[in-house]
Amino acid sequence: MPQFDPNVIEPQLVWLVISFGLFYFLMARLALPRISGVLQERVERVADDLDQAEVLKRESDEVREAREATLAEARAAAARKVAEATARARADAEASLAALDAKLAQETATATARIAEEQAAARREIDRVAAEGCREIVKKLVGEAVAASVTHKAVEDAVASLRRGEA
Amino acid sequence: MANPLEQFEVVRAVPIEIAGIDASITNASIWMLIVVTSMTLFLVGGMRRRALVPGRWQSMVELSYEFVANMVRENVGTGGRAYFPFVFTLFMFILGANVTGLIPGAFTVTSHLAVTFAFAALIFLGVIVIGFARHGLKFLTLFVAPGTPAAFLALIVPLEVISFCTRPITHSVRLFANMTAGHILLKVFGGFIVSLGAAGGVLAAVGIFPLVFNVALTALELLVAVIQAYVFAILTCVYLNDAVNLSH
Repeated sequence: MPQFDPNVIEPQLVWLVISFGLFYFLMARLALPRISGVLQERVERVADDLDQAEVLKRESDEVREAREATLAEARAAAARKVAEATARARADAEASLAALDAKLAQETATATARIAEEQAAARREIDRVAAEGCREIVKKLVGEAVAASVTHKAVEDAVASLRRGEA
Repeated sequence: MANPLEQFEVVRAVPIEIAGIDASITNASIWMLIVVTSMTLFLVGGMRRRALVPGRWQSMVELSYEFVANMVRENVGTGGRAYFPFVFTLFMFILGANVTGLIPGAFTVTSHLAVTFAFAALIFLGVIVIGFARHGLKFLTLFVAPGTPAAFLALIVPLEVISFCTRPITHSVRLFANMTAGHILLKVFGGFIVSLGAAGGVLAAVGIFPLVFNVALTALELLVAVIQAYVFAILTCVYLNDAVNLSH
């Protein structure tokens, strides 16, 4: 096997020392510091970012809490105002309704009284006209005037008996 | 049929001799430099943007870094940090050599025992030096497993010493043999394909079988290339752990 040829050992060892020495130098001075630098930087950066994220999260939590407090306050104030307005509106409405009721009742009473009065007046007029007519008829039949009070009484009695018959 | 061992031949391109040392530029040295150049381009090029959010290339580089870093951390612990650049360089060099060796016509640097043994011997000696430097003579307790009955010490200690001393051999032969065997097998079956194809007729049709086999074998060899680089690196970590933590 060529591997066991003693003539080729020496140059291989010489060049192995040269190339491996060069490679070691390149790795130790160039490649490895660069790689470990980048890895280190990444670890630090990630830690920094995590810290910053923590701070920002805390800040946003505070802001949210403040906002929620303000919102709750505003909501309470709004509810209070709505309740006040509702109460005021209800009181107003009740007052005006009561006033209207009273006015209507009074008007109804006035109207009822006037109707009753007119009815009575009308009835009296009818009675009078009937009595007058009755007296005329009696005068024509008997040829003699009868006292108005008599005819009036007769008419009233007749009307009363008619009313009874109706009832 | 071409000699399947021809691919392992070291050919001097530029013969050089300095102070009696043969430093000729050979196909082996050229491929070592190709490995170093390509792996450096891969590892430095991937980090050229130093992106906070890595792209695919940078991810591969970071993955390689973290893979070896975890390997060292898990096997050697925090005391292994100082040896991380060495283990990383070693892993990347062997991985690069194993993988580029699979390119048809390429020379596989790690298919030579001289290279793998040089690494294994360096690690073996390094472990001894680090062990004594860190623990002094207490490092020798590595050969005395804790809880061993005194009666067995005469038997256990020589066994431990032998197993310790054979480490560079097993360490280097494992990589060398895996690479060599795989490449020979690929070459033999490649030879079958060519011979059957040249024979023509029915035999040429039969040539499809070694072709299919070679395709599958190439995939397997790619796996072996990565696994053997990993095995070499992890054994380095295990041996370093002995020196650093004096554990059994």
